[in-house]
Amino acid sequence: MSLQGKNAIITGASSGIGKALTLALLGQGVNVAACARSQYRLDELREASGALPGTLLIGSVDVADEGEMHAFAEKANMVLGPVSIVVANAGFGVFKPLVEMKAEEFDQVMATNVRGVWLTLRETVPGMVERREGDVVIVSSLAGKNGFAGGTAYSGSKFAVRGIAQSLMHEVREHDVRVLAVFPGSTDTRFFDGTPMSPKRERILRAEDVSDAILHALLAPRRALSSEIDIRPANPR
Amino acid sequence: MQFDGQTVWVTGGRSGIGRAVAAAFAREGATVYISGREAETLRQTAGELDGTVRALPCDVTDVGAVEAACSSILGETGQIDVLVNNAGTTVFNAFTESSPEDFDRLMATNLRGPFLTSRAVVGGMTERGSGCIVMINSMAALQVFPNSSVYAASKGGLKMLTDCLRGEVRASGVRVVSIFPGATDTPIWPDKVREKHGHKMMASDDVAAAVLHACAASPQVMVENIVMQPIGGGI
Repeated sequence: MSLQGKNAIITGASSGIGKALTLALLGQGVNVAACARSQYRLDELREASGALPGTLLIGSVDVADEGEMHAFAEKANMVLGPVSIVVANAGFGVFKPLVEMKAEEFDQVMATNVRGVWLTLRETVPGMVERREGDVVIVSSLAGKNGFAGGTAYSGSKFAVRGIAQSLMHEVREHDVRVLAVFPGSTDTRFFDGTPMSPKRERILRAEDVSDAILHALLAPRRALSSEIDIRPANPR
Repeated sequence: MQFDGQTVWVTGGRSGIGRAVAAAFAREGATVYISGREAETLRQTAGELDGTVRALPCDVTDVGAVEAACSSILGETGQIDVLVNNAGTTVFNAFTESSPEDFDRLMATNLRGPFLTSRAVVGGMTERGSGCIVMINSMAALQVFPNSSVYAASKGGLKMLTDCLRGEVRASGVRVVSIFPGATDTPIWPDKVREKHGHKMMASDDVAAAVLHACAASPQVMVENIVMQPIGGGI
């Protein structure tokens, strides 16, 4: 199956898995509306995408802001055309024991990781259902299947996203829209910058490993709906 | 080709998903051994597929037969790079209608089988620090389907067997992958069900593509679980 000429929206597209997938889709001839908060990293993305066949549209967006997300989806629709691939990837983490975490920190994590995902889908899925064609990809985390010390907010948010993905899948598969939730383990992205967690880079996944898995599912014949993929570092000697 | 020079063992390789997996690995250059209980039809399948596909009659529930099959592959190729535990059987019965004989038969093929084959190959893999064991599990391990209690129990058992095996060998570089397909158009279904619903199901090739994707990932990547189903919904 070819993805050539399709239009996609990817959130959290300026680094890590979002960036790798944006470049991979542009390489397949997909036109991508890529958003993130940081304008300068989006400019870097534009430079990196130079020679790829797909058209890139960038936007500085806070996914938790309904107005901003709505405006970006409208713009993507106007500039690129109807969107048939959406990747809700933007994610944010605060890792602290519950007893040390502030309510504002919890709210911030939930705003990006849960409300942001829901808003991204709310802006894009109705069009797919109407046209009876679409692919929804939600990037959760293995923390969405396993809790860990320091993860009350992050892991809680990623469990929530699994519920969103499963429920949406049951709602829209009859409209020929596929919903995939991906649960990556530790990945070499900017995500761990500034946190006390610093996995060894050679022992964790590359962002491209995760985007390869997503691309494989998107390229499968439409009758096959991959709903969950768990991917972790193999931890070789 | 992606699997040039590699040796792949596919159980239940005569038909359905096993046959599609064998065909896909052989197309990508692997030497593929397909096993099953019926020697004649197994040889027929091996003859029909392109590439190097060898029939290896073996009842996966029989420890002696499994060890002999494993030794025979090792004798010919030196190592087993990929084991695909695909052999499986089912029975559609209400719990109260399920017989102890059905229970024993399904547990033997669906749970004891992958235990025996994986046990036979995993030592060589951990010693080398590479290799891939794939379990063709089922959506029935994750979701409740009426009239499938015995099948679901065997697949639920297989899920934990797989997860624990993975936990034990991951540090050695051996990869253990579970695929959980929903309805797939294969002979595991009664003919009447296939006639009525086959067009809504996934094709065996779709599952085979997922198996190859997981095995072809770079060595630092372990695709642990893939859950996939037909977009057409429940059967």
